[in-house]
Amino acid sequence: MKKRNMRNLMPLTLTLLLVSCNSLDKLINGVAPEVERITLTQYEIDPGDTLTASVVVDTGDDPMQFEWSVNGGQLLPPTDGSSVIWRAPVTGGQYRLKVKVSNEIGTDKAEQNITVRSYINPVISIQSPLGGQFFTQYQRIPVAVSASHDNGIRALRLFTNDTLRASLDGSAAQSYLFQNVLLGVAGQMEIKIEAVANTTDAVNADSVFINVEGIVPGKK
Amino acid sequence: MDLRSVFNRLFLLSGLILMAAGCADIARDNPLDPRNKDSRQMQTVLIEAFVNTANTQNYNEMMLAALDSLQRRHPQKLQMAVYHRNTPDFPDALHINESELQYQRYLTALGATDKGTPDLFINGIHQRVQGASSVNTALLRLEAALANALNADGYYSIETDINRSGNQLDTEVTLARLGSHNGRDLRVKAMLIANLGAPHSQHTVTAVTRSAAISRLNAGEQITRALNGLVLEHAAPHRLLILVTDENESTVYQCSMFSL
Repeated sequence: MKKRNMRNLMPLTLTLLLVSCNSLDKLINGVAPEVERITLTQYEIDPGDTLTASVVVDTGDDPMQFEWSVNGGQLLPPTDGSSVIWRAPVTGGQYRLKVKVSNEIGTDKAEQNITVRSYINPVISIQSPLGGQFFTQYQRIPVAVSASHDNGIRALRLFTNDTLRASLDGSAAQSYLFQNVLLGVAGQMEIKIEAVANTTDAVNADSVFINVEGIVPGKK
Repeated sequence: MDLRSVFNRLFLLSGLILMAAGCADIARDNPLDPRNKDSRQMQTVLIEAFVNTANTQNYNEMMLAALDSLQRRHPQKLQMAVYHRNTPDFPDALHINESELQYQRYLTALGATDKGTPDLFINGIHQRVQGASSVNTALLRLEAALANALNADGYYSIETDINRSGNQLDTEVTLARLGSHNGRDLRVKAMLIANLGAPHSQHTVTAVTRSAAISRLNAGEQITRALNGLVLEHAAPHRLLILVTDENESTVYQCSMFSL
């Protein structure tokens, strides 16, 4: 009886051994995915439009699983392949597409930025000086501005009475300061700031009118 | 001595005693009585303008016109003193040395280096108003700058005894401290203010005395100082302006204008 039981168990044992050896062999000799990059059919896109994203995998044993994710817009099914279609959201800005590629051996990831163009104008507001404020001729004053756009600000330009006086590069910050703006002419003065957006070059402006009181300079 | 005359004397004596007792009990509630601890008077606001009317711009003239309008609006509450200053390119015929000395005192007290005309100081460095682009905006700014100064209480009363000999003036100023706090480290000075007849020239400073020091003036007390040597160099009508300031002559506590 004992011998018959042992003989019945033999095929099962051998199968188990074979499977384990195969797995072990794979673990020792198998190749995990190595992702090179994500490619896109377009890297700048209008709101609501679609693009195709594909992952380029250098090596890796099949079968591989693909997991896509993004922080906005919509991934259109099927979303488990090496390529996926993405629909851009209504709001412009920078979006981050990610993919995770896995097999039995391991996992690798990649990410790619996508710019969605925003055709709305920048939001801009002069914080100081305030409209109607009085200053003295030849005084130098700071002009503080807040400016923002979904695609970021490329540049700001300062005009006094329609003459360009200074410019600043845009940055990730929303607050900007023009320092030492010279009030050279007496009378009412318009200070105007133009903001230019990245990507679409959309422009918007804000202005204030201040009073510059004339003075005859004395000896320093 | 008859009975009636004794009775009359007794009556007179008792009346005097009663009056004395009564007087000692009368409350000192006159607001102008220095010995009244609550005494005070309206502070007369002094506007000192440093101008140059020899240049080709009209900013100074705009400010002077605004000052005249302001004086008409507040005739009892304001006094004006207009000093003429030289600027690098425009010497002013009405310039006097004291113009530059006083201007520099104010700039030093403010820690400021920006010089120019018109440049106005209200009660010394209490408020500063510079420049003008129109009479209307100058008037607007002056009214705003005066807002806290008008209707403020003053704690000095000023009296003068003026002696004129030819074109020389000697003045004895009596200063009283009102209220309940003592005054310390004061200076008092006098200046001649001429009405030169030309538009906006009724408040021109033509001469200033050296200031006299008062180290302490207790509440309820009076003190006298001589301010001598003012010379009337113009034939125009003049008045005498007396100022009480801090020891640096940068804050004006009170001023009074006297006719000559």
